[in-house]
Amino acid sequence: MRLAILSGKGGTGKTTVAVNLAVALASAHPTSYADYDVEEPNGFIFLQPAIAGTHTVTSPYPVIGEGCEPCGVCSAACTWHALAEVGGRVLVFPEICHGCGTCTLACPHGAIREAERNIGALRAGTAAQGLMCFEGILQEGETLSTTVIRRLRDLAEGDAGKDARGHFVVADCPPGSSCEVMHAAERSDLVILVAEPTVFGLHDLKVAVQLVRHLGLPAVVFINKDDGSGLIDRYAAEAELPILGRLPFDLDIARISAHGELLMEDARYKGTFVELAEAVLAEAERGEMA
Amino acid sequence: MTYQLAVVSGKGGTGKTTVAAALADLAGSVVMADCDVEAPNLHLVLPHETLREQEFYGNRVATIDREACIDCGVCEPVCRFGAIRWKDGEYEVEDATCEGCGACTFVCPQDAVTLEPRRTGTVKLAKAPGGSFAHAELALAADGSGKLVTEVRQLATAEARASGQDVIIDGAPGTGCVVISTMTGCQAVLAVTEPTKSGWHDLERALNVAEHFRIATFVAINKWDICPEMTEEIEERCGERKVTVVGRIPWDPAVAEAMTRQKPVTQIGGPAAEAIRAIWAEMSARRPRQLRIEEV
Repeated sequence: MRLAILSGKGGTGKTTVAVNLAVALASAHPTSYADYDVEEPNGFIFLQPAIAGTHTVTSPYPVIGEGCEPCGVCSAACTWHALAEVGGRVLVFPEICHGCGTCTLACPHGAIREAERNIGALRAGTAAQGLMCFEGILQEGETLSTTVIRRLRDLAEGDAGKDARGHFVVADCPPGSSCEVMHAAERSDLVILVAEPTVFGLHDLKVAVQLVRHLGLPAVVFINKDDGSGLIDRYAAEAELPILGRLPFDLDIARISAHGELLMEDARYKGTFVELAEAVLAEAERGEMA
Repeated sequence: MTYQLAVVSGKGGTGKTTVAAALADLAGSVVMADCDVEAPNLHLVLPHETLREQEFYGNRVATIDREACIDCGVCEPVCRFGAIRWKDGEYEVEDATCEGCGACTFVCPQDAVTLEPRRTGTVKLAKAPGGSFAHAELALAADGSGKLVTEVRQLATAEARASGQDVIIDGAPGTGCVVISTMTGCQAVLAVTEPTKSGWHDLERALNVAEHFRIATFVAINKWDICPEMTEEIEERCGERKVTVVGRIPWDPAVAEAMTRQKPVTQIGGPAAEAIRAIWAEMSARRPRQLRIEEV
């Protein structure tokens, strides 16, 4: 079962919910945690997995070789203007290149070959209770988040299909509402929307709900930093979204998280995530029956 | 030259919008831009009146002409993004996965594939008390949020050039395309962080991006008193990197109250508002000719 943790707004507690839920599930079920927030991955700070492998993520870019006229066909074919014909030669700007290969296809002289450049990394490891951990990291200055997300999904979930029924994948997704979020969230069995009861939190939750409905995925809400205002509760009732759990607004929680510690390791908050895991299991069973 | 300041953070939810709205209020006369086009919030606290809206078509998506297509499948393997799929007895393009590169158009023997424009989002120009306010809304799950950011920036820059004002930009979390489009061409970046391990981890990444593009950077630590030890550690690490920490903002319930009342926190008052006022004074002192502060 794949669980996508989403929010729209940044900093509402996606990673807090994702890592603690993954730890709660791992005590009784084979579970993987995958951090798809590749521009700002924070899950490993809390889970501290022993790293078993690091993989480089690369993207191809064109190299102009023998035979270039230059005729200008490649620069005209590039959607991103990563090639430019200047002063009788073709210049390549690898950092703008999306690695689509269109220039190579378009060149009438066969003068373009491709090289690979590093754009990020994937890390895999194991945390307590055999929790399998994966994260993607976009290199600073690079823009191809989607490529890193795609490679991470292949690595973390490529062979998860074979025992999908008993295996839980907790996918910690990026904030926002772009295609990157979509690629991290699509093909999930359940989306947990982490929301905070502020004006900003509510606005961005609505954006996330639109995205989830666009993807046709079942969703539930987890209210974080709950101040008792009922702001999210009222909206969830209107939108017919079940509330599967909540954490109170509590400066102690903020301090525990500040130090990179798990709430599952604190007797006061452990119950919240054990109950969330049970509620998720109940949802999983209901899904199987449906 | 138009002076442009971008408020960024790395980690989400550290208080970028709260700070940006307060700076707008303190600056008095300034053009504002909300470049967090995926989850924009500045319009919720910055009083404004919309002047005009425009649809922005920044992307192209491959479209198969069903009449001309013979389902030969030549296009499928050349698509490196996996956007062309065999479904229900014919090839189709998955819009959200297509990057609009056009590789498929080069190999189609029937010339059945063309690139068609797709709506990336809506760009809006509004009038705020201190000057123009440019913002946008990304179309759902759209590709090209970076291009939409560039569009918002161009609009803000044009307004600022016409009026001779500076620009303050409310940025997005992260370090990718959207943030790079937000930072490039700015004279300064104010990175708002929080005293947590995650806050520092992501701030360091944002600082690396700013350094990569050689932009002057300031740091402000929001909710600093939630974890004073981490605040000191971040200040120390910033010192090692020769990045100036321009101030600490305390945790203050007035921030949430300001949000609820849909006003910049500086109009409510309180310790957070005072701290942001001091940060603005500090930044203005460091850039006396470019970043002005109105006499209060």
